[in-house]
Amino acid sequence: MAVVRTVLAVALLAGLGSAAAVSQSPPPAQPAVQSGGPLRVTSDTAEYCDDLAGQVATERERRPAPQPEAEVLAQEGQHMCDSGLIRGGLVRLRRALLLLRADK
Amino acid sequence: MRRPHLPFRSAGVRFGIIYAGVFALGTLALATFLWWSTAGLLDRQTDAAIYADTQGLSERYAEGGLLALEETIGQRLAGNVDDDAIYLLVDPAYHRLVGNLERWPPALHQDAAWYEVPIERAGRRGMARLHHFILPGSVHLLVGRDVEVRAQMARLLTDALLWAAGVALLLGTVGALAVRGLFRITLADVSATAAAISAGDLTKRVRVVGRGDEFDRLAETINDMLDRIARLMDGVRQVSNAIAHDLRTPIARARARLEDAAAHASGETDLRAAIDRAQADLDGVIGIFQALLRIAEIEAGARRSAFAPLDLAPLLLDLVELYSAAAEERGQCLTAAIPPHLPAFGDRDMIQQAVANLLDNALKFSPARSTIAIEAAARPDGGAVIAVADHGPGIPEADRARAAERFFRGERARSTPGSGLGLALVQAVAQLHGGALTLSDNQPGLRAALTLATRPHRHAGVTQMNATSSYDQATADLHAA
Repeated sequence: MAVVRTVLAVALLAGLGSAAAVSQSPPPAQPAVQSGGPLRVTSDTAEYCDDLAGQVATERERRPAPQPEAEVLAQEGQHMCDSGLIRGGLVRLRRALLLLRADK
Repeated sequence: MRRPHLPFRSAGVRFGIIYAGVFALGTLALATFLWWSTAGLLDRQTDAAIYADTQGLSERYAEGGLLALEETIGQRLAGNVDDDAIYLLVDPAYHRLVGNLERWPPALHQDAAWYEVPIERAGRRGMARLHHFILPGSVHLLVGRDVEVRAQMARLLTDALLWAAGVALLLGTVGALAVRGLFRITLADVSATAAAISAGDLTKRVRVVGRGDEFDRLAETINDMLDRIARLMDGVRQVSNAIAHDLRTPIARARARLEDAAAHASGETDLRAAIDRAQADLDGVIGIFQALLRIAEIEAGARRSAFAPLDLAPLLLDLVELYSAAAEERGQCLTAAIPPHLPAFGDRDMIQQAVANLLDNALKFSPARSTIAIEAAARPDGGAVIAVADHGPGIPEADRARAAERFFRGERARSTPGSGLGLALVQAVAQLHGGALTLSDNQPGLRAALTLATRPHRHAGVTQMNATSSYDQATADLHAA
């Protein structure tokens, strides 16, 4: 019976240890009371695509010789946004913007 | 009284439940650890990123005011390649200033609080984890991350863990049943053997599988115990039969003599003679009982308190002197080779009686004009050995192993008086002194060696019967009787 008790104690300690580790995670979030449905995120829209394309164009104008990779990304992004592939277009435009800003 | 057979009183069921419990605890601990190290880790990383983001924006607000904060939020949104960041900055009246949420979520007013909020991105519903901060000037800032991917992974992990729990439950149940079954199968043979033994079949033994595991060792121990019990039972049975047989003869003889005297005695002299003979017969019976009781007393170790250091030399010389006279009467010669000092540790009276039994047997069975030798010597380990050798008929090799049993009488000893208790007493004395009685062939005759240890232990005695003998064991008690 001593072996059984030891195994039980080890398993219990392991469980308690894991429980203690879990308890170190951040405080639980409160569910927000919603009225009028979920909140819409506005950075996935064609409008934001245009806004981002505008920012990219501004950054390009500020540089005499923008990086070719940034140019390509910007063109692809603009094209995808125009084609309705908003999220793909946004990713490319953001990368282009980051490259242009890093090139400052 | 037998208890009713209930499942919770079954050790097999108990072990099965313990196994299942240990298995479940282990699985629970593993699942908890898996959750903590995957979904929990993502949660912690997300919260850390949000918190760092919030701190950076707060500092920016403190440095450059509202405009700088709005610009920074716009830049961070524009540079969010992962496309998971959520920001919303509103004025004290909750009017939107900048950010990618369409409006301030209702019921979010507590400063420094965390929220889980449903969101909609390009027609897809998801969840966002948000942190609310109230900046100086009562400006409200929400910083968060889209955690839909994490939520999907958590759901997948939950499903996987649920399935794993089901499998673990199944395996635990199967394992518990297997443990219970194995336990029952293993103990079934022990139980059946015990039942057969209790029903009177002492020949039944527990099966030894041969794996050499704990159950095999248990079976061997039980079988050894049963062998020992069987030997003891046989011994008790033989002694009982021997007592009934050996006591019946003198008692019947005494009765016949008294009956004959009552019917035919012609005078007081005849009657008195018959009574004397019957008394002698009954004294013989009493002597047998005394010898039996003495052997039992010695075997029980009740006389151990009388143990003391002693010199065996004068004790043996006294015996030689006593028995020399008896040997001369029989036309025999008793020779002795005894050292001047022979230290030993034991009960003087018992040792004296044991040696007297050996000498008495030797004289009784040796023919006239033969020599009986008694030798004594110290052993290298500190004990002593006393040997008595004669030139009598000896004991056949086949009988030597049983020669020291109570009431054993060899074929050649049937015609001589005695009860078959003499060597049994010698052996009991030897064992009590941590020694042994060894019988061997004297070519011709018998050599009986009594070995005594220096400091005897209770169970140290081992009797070796690798000798011949032809002794009829008659005790000194019997002769005294």
